[in-house]
Amino acid sequence: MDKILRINMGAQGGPKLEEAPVGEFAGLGGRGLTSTIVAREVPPTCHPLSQENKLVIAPGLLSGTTAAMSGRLSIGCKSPLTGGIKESNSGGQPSQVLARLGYAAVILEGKPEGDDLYKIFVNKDGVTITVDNSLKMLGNYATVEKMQKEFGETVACISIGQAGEMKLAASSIACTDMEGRPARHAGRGGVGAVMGSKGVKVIVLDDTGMSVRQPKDPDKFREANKIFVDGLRKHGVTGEALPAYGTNVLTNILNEAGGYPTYNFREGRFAGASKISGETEAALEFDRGGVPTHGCHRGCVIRCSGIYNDKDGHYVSKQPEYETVWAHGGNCGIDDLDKIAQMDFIDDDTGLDTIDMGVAIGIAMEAGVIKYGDSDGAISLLKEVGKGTPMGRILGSGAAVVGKVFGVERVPVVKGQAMPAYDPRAVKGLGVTYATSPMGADHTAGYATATNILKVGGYVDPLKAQGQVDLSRNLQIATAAIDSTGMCVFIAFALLDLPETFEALLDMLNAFYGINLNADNVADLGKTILKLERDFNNRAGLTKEQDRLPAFFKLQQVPPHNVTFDITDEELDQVFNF
Amino acid sequence: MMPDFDHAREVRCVMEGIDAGPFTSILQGGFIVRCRTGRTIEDLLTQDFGITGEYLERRLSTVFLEGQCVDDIGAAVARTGATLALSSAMPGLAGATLRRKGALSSMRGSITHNENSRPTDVVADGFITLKLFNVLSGELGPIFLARGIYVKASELADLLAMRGGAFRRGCTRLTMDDRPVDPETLLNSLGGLGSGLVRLVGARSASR
Ligand code: SF4
Repeated sequence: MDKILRINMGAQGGPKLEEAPVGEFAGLGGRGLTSTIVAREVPPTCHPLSQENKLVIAPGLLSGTTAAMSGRLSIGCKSPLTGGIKESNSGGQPSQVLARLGYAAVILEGKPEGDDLYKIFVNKDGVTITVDNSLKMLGNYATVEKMQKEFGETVACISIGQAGEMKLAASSIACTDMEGRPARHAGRGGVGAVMGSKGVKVIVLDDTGMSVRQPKDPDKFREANKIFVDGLRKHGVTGEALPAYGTNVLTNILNEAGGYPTYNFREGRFAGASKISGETEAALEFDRGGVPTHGCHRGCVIRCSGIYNDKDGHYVSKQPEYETVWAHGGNCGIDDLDKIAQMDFIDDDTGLDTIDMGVAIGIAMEAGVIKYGDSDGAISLLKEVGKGTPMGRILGSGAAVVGKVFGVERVPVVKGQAMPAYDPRAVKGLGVTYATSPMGADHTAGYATATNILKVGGYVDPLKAQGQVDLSRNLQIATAAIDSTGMCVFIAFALLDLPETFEALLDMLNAFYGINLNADNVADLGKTILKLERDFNNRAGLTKEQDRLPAFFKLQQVPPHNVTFDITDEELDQVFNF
Repeated sequence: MMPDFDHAREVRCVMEGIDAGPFTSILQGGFIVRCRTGRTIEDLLTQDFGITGEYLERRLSTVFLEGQCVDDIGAAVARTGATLALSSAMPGLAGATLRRKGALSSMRGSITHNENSRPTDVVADGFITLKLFNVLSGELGPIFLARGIYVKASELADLLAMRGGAFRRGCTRLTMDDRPVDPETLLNSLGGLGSGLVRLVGARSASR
């Protein structure tokens, strides 16, 4: 991972490649690298779909090594959805393969004239870029199938579906999983539209002939990895709950807490929750010969994913995650897992963010376009996106646009991005993070839990009201830092409860790079990343006035606890006072 | 008001070993158990149901009483008619926030249970609705199934309709009010009972 590949898609005479040593970006990976490059090289006020924007694709610092859980891929740009900086990350194989091919980042720059569609092939011999208009308006599954026929079954692909080609603001970028299915997505923020604006349909990666990245100190690295894996295996969340039930294990507890947004955030509990819970999903998958425990990339030892089959045992989609089951399920009053899995597949194939699409459909339901609970109607609406009809384009532009088009007041977005599956009136601390994250409403501050160990921001008294603001700040710092390693978000619990697991993570980084990183350095890295992201947003015109939840959260109580979001604007403004 | 336990029909499912697997949807959706109420959750779980304190400390990470997060199970009182939900540790930021005595508990302050005993609390025969989530369903479910749980007939019918295969694999013998019955006949009988209460018992086969 010692070089950066830049592809100027708008160069005279066709796309032009430039490979350069990693140089000044050495020591950065994942979100740290994507945000640094975007903040430095993209004019904050540019149009996100213009030649001035860049799409930065970066493996994590430990991707391509034998480190467990190290295969998350970060994708950064100026977001067409939020208008601010974006890092969206995905599981799947590409991060490992890209890292083994030696790339710390691939950067798509410029914008081609005309409407040719390109495919990029990268292997040990170099990079080739060719026009392939036969891929136009294909879904991700058909695109990947064609690439596998052309380049072999074992390649990893990063691709967009029809939504990305149409440059819709809720479009995602797909990454193939271990079985070569484009079922893992950098979903948030419309990154697919930016790839579409560069005229790139798919990046095909083949690491044949390349070997695993070698650490500076192999013995120390091996030992640290072993302690890290042992920690993950023996912890209740990473060793039991996630492998057995996947992320959808959260449905029952959020519902019980009255924090499960239902009927477009009108209520906090869904009567059909137990029909779509992780427990039910896993049992159904087991009964149907699916797989309730499955990794999204090689080297994952938690394996929170699964395979969802229909009642005849045929593949429908990967096991829909909690956020997806909620967005297309409870949020829309739908309690049928088979229909939800179908929607998950359509989202993946068309290349759409499942959260923004579920929230968009919930808003359309509120507007009376279809009724709550109408699963077939919801599936039809989703299919409109892939067809490129006017209704489909509106929906594919995300929840905020749908709210405007249909004149709906209750539109749960922050900085234009749809809110995930936790009602901030019930769990107010999450609301603080939704409001103030530079990424827009975002739930992936899961590394949050590592804050105690990182001791970012000093000791926080959890019982004081100020605690929510302080905790949110610390969470965001810790998340930004660890997002740079390429580690999956779900290692967080083991880090929280088992200090030796966090130490092992640091030891792995130190043994691999021959450095001396400590917890303070990690916290400093997090602060630096957040500051430059905030600075980019400020220069793009996103100021503290955008660090707010929609007003209805303050005005409308959510049952059953009948609570509102009552954290003041002044308190929210304290989050970034470091 | 006390449900009509006396007129509940009894469905008994004989299994090789009591496996909660086929009953997941009922265990997570909520079932009624009769118990001594008016005392702390900890006393209720250890004294009435024989769950050890060590188990509670190790496995019971997330607890809801009437939908509110409980931090101290030794102080929160389960009164008759209450709904109690039990879960292991959960992933993600939300999971961490809802966790018992977690470092992030202030982030859900408005839904934290903070009412403990009242002078009027007396320990008496009563009932609660219990929900068992995730791994606790498999681990604690057999304890409750063995002593008998009360569910609506329609909920048991839904379970049979949805997971009939697993049910058939799990139960070696099925009776209704002590008379042998096959799953299809049971499904029909339950259909006629609507939301009437059924006492469901998971019994271990005599050969074991
Ligand atoms: S825990 Fe889940 S999301 Fe994380 S790497 Fe494994 S399968 Fe992917």
